Amino acid sequence: MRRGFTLIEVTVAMAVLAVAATAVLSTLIGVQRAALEARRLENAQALLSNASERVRTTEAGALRDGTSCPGVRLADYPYLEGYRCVVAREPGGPGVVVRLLDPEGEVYAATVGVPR
Amino acid sequence: MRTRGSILPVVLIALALLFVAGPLALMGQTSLRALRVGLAERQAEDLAAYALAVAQREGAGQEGRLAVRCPEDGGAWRFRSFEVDGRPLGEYAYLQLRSRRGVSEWCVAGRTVGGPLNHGERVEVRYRASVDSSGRLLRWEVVP
Repeated sequence: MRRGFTLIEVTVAMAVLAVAATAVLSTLIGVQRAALEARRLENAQALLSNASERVRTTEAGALRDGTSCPGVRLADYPYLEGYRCVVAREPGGPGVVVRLLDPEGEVYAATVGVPR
Repeated sequence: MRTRGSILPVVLIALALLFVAGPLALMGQTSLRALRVGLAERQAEDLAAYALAVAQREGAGQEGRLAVRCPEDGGAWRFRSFEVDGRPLGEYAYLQLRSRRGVSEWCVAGRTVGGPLNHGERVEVRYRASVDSSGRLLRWEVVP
């Protein structure tokens, strides 16, 4: 009478388990990254909405190039740590560009507002 | 009687893990996409509001009879590009409608182009706007 597994069976089982565990682990890492990106996008959307709404109620002369977005406190957006929000007048146009810059200074998201 | 182990339970566990991982990843991607679309919607709406400001500044710039309602045909709109640091944020367009009793009527549209600033999402919005002679917005309604 024989009990237990053969060496081949154990090898196949370990291989199958390793593949499944790797797939699950990489999925979980992806889900965690997606969740972080989702929180950041959520914050960015709220920030841009607030900034463009505030631009609408601000006099054009009060918005100087390179200044912080009016009415935006970055401390209210915890997932945008190290980010900056700046406004710039559109040359020759009626708009004000709202830029959300990442810690490296690259534009992460942007929109356009029209001052009062 | 012969008693032997089987790898079947192990294979079943592995399959169960894979069945859990798939929907998890899909759920994450779906919620991320919804947020990207939300951001692009905001940008498209801001571009439509910008289109109205440009329309009021530049005037109709159209010849011939003005329409009574906003065109459904996408070809009737003349979209212009709006860029931020040389990268496209989106496009905007406006059309003047026939004015009524000192009230200017405009059709305005804004759309994202699916670029990096839009996080890859394309969204288009169209509005019908009524503006009085002092530039005050009287009506802002979605064009189906």
